[in-house]
Amino acid sequence: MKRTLLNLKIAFGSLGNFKLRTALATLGVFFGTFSLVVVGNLSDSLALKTEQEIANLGNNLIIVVSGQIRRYGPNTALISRATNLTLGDAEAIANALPATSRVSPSGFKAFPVRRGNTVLKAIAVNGVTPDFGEVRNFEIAEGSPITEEDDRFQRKVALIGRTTAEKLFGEENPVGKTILIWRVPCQIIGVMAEKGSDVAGNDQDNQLFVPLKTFLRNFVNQENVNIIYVQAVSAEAIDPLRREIEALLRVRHGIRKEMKDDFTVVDLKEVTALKSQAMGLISVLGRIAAAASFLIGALGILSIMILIVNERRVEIGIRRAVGSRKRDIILQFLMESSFISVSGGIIGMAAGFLMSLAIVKVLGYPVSVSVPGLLLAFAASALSGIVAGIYPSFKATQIHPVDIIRS
Amino acid sequence: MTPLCLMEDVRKTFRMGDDAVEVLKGIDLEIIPGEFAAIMGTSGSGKSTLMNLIGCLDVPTSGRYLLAGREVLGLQDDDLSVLRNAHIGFVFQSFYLLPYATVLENVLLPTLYRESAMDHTEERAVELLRLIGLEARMHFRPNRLSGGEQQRVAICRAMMNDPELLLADEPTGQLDSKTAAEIMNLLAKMNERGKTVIVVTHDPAIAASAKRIIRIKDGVIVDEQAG
Repeated sequence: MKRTLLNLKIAFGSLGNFKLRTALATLGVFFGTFSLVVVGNLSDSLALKTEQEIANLGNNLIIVVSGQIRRYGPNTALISRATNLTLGDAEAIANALPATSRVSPSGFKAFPVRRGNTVLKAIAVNGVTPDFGEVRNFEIAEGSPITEEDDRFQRKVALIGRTTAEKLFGEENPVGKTILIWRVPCQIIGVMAEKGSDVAGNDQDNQLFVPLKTFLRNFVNQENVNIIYVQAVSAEAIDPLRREIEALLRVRHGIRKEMKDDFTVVDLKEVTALKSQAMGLISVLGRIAAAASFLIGALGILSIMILIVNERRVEIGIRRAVGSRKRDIILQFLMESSFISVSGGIIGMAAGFLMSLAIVKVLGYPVSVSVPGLLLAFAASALSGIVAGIYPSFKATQIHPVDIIRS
Repeated sequence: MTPLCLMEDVRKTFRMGDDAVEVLKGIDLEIIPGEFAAIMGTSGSGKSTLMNLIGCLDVPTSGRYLLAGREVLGLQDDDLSVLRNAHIGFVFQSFYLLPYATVLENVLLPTLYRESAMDHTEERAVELLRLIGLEARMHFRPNRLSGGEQQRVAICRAMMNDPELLLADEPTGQLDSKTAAEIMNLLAKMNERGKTVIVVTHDPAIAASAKRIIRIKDGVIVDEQAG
């Protein structure tokens, strides 16, 4: 221990003669650990964000959409014009498939909304069943929910999203007030809790909810729905239930074997796959950049170590004379080179850490620290230092005290 | 008494390309514990090579060399390191203190490579520095000391592991005559404390401090006399 401390002190003194070169040499390692930590933390944050988004949609959720959807991703609206999902389909799923815990069919369409002189041109109006909140993880912040009676009697009541409420009412409490949705006056009975944006980036707080039967009768005057939300009894039940729903709906819709479905069961994993793919690409590029940086860093440290060994020929000769063995010399210089690289690496890790925090904050992602990422960065910086030190430290053992004494 | 160094027909040949140059041509030498000897010779006489062999910095090409009863010929590099660390303290012409370590750390250097731990290491180093009157400056860097002071520190370093043999190579070569005398006095003092001292020099005035003078010329010992 004492030897290590003294050796490091001597190394520091010697490095003091090559301040700029040492700093430049550590720069490669700095960027290497920097990018590894940034990439590691961001990947973790994204994974966490995706999990949260899926949970936000609803627990153990399966979404059945009418028609075919070919593409998922940001700004691709999940709107289909097909009109073949019915309330009967929803009931059949609920009654025939025991793995379902709740079924919530829903229709939606954009309508102009007016209150006094304030007119909002197109707000998404959702026709929902009373239990849509449980299925889709929507909560009511103020007021009361839509009840069975509201639905059965097609009452003209509405729940309002926070964003919409602010646009129409500002600071005022909207509960109890009446607004005009399209040409239907509706009384607001509650305000939804804030939910943020969904996977597609749409503001989920900028919409209205009315009882499904009210919606079908007074707004769209049709019997079919756009979406059926199905909640499975457990996470394990999702995949089998998905296949059962597909089979059931094919029978109900009279689809023959060779024909394609006229509905789509959305896989939430696919919805988030695009983002994961993009992050995967960034990760790969980041790791390649990191590998290149470590290589450059190792070369830099190699050159500084050759300089240092040359500058300290006398020291090495004296150490050999007073009894250090070759392996002591090798160990000493390997420690020095890894110390240089780990110093640069730790600074890079700290900078990468702060950088990832900043990026995550800007993107609005949850903060996540990738411990494997940090460990990998540390190991890589130590390794590049050790590798860089091998040649110079063996060079150092070639120095013989006899050559030093009389020169 | 068992000799500390015993050389019998020691030869050393250096290869220079295709040529072989025999620098030592059959040295017989016996140094007994407690001696204060000077090896004298001009440059090219082979005295440096002889010193390197005595100090186990190099091994003979042929012959026998026993250091403290141990055969040196055929030892591996690591074994030579261990042998030097335990039995020999070196004093060099250019002092060779490590510039980035303090005086105290320089004195402690040989203890870093000891095979067995030493008790009260630091106290011992401070004690040695007190002996040469540099205790107050033990936390200084060597470059703040004069040449004579640096050489005294180097002697402390050589003494640190309590070796049987102090091997000094032109220890006064870079010092003025007054300081040189001080250094020789210090070496004599160490000899009185029981150390065997061998000084290699070309300077008869320096060699005169020793109790025994061994003259070497063209690779053989030509003359021995009591100093």
